[in-house]
Amino acid sequence: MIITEMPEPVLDKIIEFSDFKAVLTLRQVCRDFLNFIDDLNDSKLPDSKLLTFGIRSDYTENNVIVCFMGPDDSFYRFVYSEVEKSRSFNGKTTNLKDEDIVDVAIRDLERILKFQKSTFQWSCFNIHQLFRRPKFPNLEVKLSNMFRKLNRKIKTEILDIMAYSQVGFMSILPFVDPETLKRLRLFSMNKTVRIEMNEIAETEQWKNAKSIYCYFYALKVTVDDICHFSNVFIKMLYISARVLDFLRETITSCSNIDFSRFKFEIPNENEEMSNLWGHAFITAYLGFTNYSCLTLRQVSRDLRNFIDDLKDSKLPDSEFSTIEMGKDDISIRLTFQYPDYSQHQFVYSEIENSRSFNGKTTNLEDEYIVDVAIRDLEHILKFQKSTLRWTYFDIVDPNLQVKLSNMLTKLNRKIKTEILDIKSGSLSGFMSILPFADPETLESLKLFSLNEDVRIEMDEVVKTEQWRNAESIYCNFYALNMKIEDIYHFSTVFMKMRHISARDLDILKKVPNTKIEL
Amino acid sequence: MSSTEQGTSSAAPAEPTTAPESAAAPEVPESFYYVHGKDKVVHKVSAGALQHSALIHGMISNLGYTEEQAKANPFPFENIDGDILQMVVDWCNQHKGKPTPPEDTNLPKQKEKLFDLVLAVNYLEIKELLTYCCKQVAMMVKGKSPEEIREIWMIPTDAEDEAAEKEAKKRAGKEAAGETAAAAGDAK
Repeated sequence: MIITEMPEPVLDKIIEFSDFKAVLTLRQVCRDFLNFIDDLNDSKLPDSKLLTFGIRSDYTENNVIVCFMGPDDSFYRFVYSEVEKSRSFNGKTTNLKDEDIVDVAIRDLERILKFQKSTFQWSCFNIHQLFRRPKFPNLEVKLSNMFRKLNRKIKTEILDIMAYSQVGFMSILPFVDPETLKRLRLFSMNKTVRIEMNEIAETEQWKNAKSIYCYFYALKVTVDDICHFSNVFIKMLYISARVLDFLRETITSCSNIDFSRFKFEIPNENEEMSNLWGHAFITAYLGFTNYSCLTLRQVSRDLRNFIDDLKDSKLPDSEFSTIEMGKDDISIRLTFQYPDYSQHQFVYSEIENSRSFNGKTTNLEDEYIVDVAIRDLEHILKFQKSTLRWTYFDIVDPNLQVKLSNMLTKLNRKIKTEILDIKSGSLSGFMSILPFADPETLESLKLFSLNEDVRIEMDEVVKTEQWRNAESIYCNFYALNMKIEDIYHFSTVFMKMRHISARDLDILKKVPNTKIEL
Repeated sequence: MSSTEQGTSSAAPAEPTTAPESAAAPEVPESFYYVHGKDKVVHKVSAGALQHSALIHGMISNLGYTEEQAKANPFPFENIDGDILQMVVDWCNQHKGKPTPPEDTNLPKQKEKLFDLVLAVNYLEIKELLTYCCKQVAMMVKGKSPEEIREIWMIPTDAEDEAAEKEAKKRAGKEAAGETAAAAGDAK
């Protein structure tokens, strides 16, 4: 008795108790088994329970590669070589003679997919073809035809497709089960490619997915197309005021949005693009690098409004280590330095009434440089969340003092800095800054005057929390109205006093490491 | 401690279930039927055991045989070898009125016997036993290569199969030619 002569219900049952690998092996045993298995209804086949699946066309080697991973980490790799006209699997190479390797690959794939009943964790289609010289010109079409014939949606949680055009993506996407798809990731050969997405965004698969990733410029995508995703990475060439409105609303209404992952990126040529395409032509994608959103503010009015309306907590940390503001007779300088010593400098020229930044000079027309500089500083301070190592204000100009003080009052946030240097000729100058420094972070306070013989009353300064909390003090001028109690808490003191009482001197003499010059 | 308690509690409900059966037994005496295979050896099997076979169960449920009639008319299963039928009868007796276990390890290990048993069980429509047998057949070749499977199940390769077919055709052709020649000779 030969097994293949067994009645059909018996063979059905034997197949039912065999695993997927065994059934594929049985196909190779003899022609009768092959015909019997291929004619079986899919429901009678055992579940292959594969976890991942991938198909890739390899141009350099002229191969088509199909891979699967099983639940026990078993890995199956079929390589179909155009050059050798062969299929390699499991160390065994079969000559395909006159058969088209694409046909064979797709037939094998179909056979395996017939067994898959459970959901793939991940499926990857990397079958994009260069239009000018396609090596496997019919691969996409044949794959689509196979899926149509299979008459069953591919169940996968993550779907990756790499393609050159919407048509390429659409040759796969509709054949995926929308119910099981969670993450859709679309790639193109390089990130500057622009692909229309209108048909893709219409699919059930797109609408049902929870997460989208597009590694190219997505065209014809509206905010309505992406608002259902809980996780979005999409690059757009153009961002409309409506999209910005939507984003602002989302960001301000959701407390749990991780804004560090919300990013706009502007290519270097943004100004050129802006000129060519109008003021709102930018690249935006999710993820926000600290300084770029300041640049972003300059791109268009919509973006400026968008960013300025955001709550400070939604803004990324600019992570500067030092901020320096200086003014001389002809200019104001604002310098920001990162921990790696790279820096940005804004120079505001009194004579030209202009702002220079990054080699670019902007005429400020009828605005005052002081106003512009303070506004810029405000914007930057809004982004600064980490503690600055050093902050320096050279604010001898009374006008600058008043405006700076007003701005800092409006900012409603203390400047976190470890070292604070203020250069001013008067008590009011020091007091326009000092109360706005965070007393918790302040370690060292240095107060400078224009010349060392100046005498400044310190009674208001010493009452501040900042003074009382600092560990070190340096004053290069004569401090008036000071008591020994006011400096007693400092571990390092450099002070000049006009008078010192015998009692104070006695106390100081008792402190070790004290150097007193009379 | 608890295991003894559990033991007694599980034993307790078992008694009432067996009691009605034994009490009911004298009222409806169990009927027996007779079957024989190719070797004509007659096996006496209770109707309860035969219930496993959908085929025999269907046959006897309409007959209404008396004990004597049943004895006089054993069911002939000429297509089943005597030893295979014995195996089937034994299995039915063993599993009479019992829920079948998830696995049966007492099946023949030899390919020929197992295949014959599969055919007999399939014919007699004994669903559970067929499941065990098919599972065992599938297990025989699990993890084996196509070549090994051919060896285990004694399947000829396609080339051998074709050659055998050709040979058979050739022989048939020759025989036919021989017959016609003989017929012609006769006619002469």
